[in-house]
Amino acid sequence: MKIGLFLIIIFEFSTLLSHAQTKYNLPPEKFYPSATIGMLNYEKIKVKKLTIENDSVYYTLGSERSKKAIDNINYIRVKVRNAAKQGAIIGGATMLGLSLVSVANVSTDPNYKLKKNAGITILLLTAGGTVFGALIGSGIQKNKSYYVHVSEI
Amino acid sequence: MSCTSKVYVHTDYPNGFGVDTLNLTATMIGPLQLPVLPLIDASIFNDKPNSIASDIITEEQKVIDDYQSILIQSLEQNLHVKVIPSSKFSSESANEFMVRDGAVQVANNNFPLVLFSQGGINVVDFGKKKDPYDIFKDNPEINKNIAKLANELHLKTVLLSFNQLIVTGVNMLGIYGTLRLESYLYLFNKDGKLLIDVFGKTKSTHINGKELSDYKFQLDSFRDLAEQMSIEVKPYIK
Repeated sequence: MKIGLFLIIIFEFSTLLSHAQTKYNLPPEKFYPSATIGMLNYEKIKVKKLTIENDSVYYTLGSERSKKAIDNINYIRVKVRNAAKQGAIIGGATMLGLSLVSVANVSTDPNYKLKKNAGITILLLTAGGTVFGALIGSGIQKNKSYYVHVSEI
Repeated sequence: MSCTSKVYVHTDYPNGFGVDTLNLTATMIGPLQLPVLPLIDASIFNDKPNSIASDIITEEQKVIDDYQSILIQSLEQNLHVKVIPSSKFSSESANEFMVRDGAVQVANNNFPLVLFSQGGINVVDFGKKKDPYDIFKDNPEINKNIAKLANELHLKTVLLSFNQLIVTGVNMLGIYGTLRLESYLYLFNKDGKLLIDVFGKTKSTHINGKELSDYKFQLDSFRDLAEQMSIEVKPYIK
């Protein structure tokens, strides 16, 4: 039992140490199916099967497997899933806009009368649009650049 | 090639002030500013510069040191003052304040950097602020930081240069946008008080958003813009 606990502590400590020793601002995953690498000499390489390790990246270019030292890299651009916020804004704004246009139409048309619970309906539609947009957005992949030598904020 | 549009000078010292040395602590290029509205049109348009974001930043990285040289040359020729970049500050402790690796990071997926010229010193927490006026002018933190920096490095003045490309508008469905280069100069005294601020902007050009050459065209217009700004500041420097 004590040996087990000791091993867990050692493992946690070594994991913590390896993270602390990471001196680069790198993408969060270790593998990306495709990526763009910008070198410090401004060369740009579009690669497949990018694997990120401690001080190097490995990738496939054509049929060749190659390696680059991270020291020589300016940026790595990869696809990440993070459009939930934008999706929520677009979804919410669209439903709110449509609701307000409908309210304006009803208000100016003498054949129709605005229901008393219209406010709650608009609120629910907007909230629904926001949630729906966020769900759609979270599935959308967006590109993100990691400038490997610039410290993360 | 002259596409300079306008330069605005603001100072609380209309009769000018005596300065013989300008300590240029940083020449910066901020992230490309993209419009948010109209929501759909801007979103469609913004995908285009975002898709070549790294190429645009690479072009900015190529010119950032040239921007500093151009600015120094222009100010010295027009104002007849000595301009000292931070890389040549005499104080040994200047190294402690210099930005490592030529940039600081900001929260932006596609344009995540504020680029600094070699040896540039950063005195501000950019956070999520985008408007240069919010960052440099209406920001009490910067006055405090500059006073501290000036005290530690024995500087009588602190000059900052901030530049950025900005898409000022897009048309229906985001087919075209208008792009310009904006340049800001902020001169502070040793107590962190803003003596003068200068804003220059180039004439906007219509762009489809995905041609790197359109961004390079605006970046290349900095020489004319710096010259125009220096000329406009001249009456205030005694």
